[in-house]
Amino acid sequence: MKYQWNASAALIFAVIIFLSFSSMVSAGNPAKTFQLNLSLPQESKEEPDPFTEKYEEVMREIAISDEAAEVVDCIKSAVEDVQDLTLDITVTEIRDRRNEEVVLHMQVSVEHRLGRAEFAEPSAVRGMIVLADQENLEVWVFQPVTNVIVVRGMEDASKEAMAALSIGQNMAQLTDYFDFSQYNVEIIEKTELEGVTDYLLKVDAPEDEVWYVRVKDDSWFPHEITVYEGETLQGTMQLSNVVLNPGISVEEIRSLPDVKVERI
Amino acid sequence: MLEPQWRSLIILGLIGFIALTVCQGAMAFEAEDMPFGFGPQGWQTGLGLSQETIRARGLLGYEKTGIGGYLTHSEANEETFSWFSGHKQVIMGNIGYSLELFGGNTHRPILSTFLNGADPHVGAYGEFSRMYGVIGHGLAGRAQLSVSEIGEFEYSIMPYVQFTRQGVWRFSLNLGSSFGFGMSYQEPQDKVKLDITLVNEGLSMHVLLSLPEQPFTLGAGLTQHQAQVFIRYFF
Repeated sequence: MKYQWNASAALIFAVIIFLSFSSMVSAGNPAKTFQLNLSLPQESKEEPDPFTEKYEEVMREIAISDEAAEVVDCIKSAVEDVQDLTLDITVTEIRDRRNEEVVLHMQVSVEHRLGRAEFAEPSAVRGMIVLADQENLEVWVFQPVTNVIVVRGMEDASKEAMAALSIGQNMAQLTDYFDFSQYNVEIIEKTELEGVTDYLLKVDAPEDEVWYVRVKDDSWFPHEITVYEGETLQGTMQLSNVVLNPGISVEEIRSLPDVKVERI
Repeated sequence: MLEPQWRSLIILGLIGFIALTVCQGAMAFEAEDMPFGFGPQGWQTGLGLSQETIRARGLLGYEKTGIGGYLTHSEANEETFSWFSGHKQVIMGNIGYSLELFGGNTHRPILSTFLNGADPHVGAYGEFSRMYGVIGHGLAGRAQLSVSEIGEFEYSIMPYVQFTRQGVWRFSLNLGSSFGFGMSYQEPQDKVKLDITLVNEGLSMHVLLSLPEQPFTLGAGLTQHQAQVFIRYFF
């Protein structure tokens, strides 16, 4: 059953990416949660409230070089205008000195508020397809073992998954996954190959986590994120075959095997 | 005075239906149906009831719990047949297992078809499935104990392989009290189910057809010596 947690973690991450994109790119609410004003707030004669004071204190502590800020800004800009995307995600988690790998193919349509994940590895979830329909607040799961599609409310599915993974408290951090401007960011490696520069960023994330983010300047879409907690390697997530705005149709993303449907 | 076999039969039938009704309390049954068929015992008619609940288990799993059963009466020899069961199925990703406890005086139905009356018995059926995408394997087992004075015990163990291609195909071995091979097919939308088994007694075939958006299922069972056809009307 250990693979279930991995699969769930990968799926949740995928859904979170989807939700993050939704909130970032939504036309009616442009970049509401994503844009972070790094400039100092305008002076005001009014007494600042405690929250603002704390915010300012935190922002003053963020040390980021001009080049790092530029890279962070480029990453933010790259994902801001995305309407849909496809990508392959490989999550490698280090657990009890063993590598556990989850591989899935993800399709996201921000416009139609749909996210779809097809699992390839591990074998315990291979062939499963999960379709998250944010508009109807439903999750459709194709189960190869019974050859049926199970439909459940997204709220229930998320709640159960959150409880299983105990990451509910980290949701705020995960929803801004690609917004690194909130943290101390340092460029620790910069290599150039065939005209493409590959940056390795060190991001001081909250709760004693350090993320090493690799991003190339040809797409500005992160292609590898390695997470350390203290000195301990937690895992790596690789994002490959990323296609931004491929124009996925609703039919394509909703396409599921023609099997019996059961609702929970 | 009723003969002992009649008494045990009626008692079993009553136990089954009391269990079905008591377990459900005031809740309505999810599906009621009226089986109407013709077989070795002549024309048969009766009542079937079933109830099943499904709930999520984690993000990639679910479980089903249910009960069901039927009671039929044959015209020709005034016999009453009953069969009832309670089951639980758990699916977690590509792994599934199920357990069913049953009792009755017909053989465990294959695709809703029962050909023979049998000594009153109680039993259990269990199954473990493991898929790897479109292919998989599993193990099923059945054991039943006759409630009659002889107390005959039967069991079978059925390892199988299964793959999905325009439906689910399953090929199994039958080991235990009898030896044989089996093949079953389930159409993706469950409209057609087919089961072919070759065991000690010979070849048997069962088929179940569900009519789209119609409250009927049609079934037929055939062995080398007997045949049964039936319609189940759901209301």
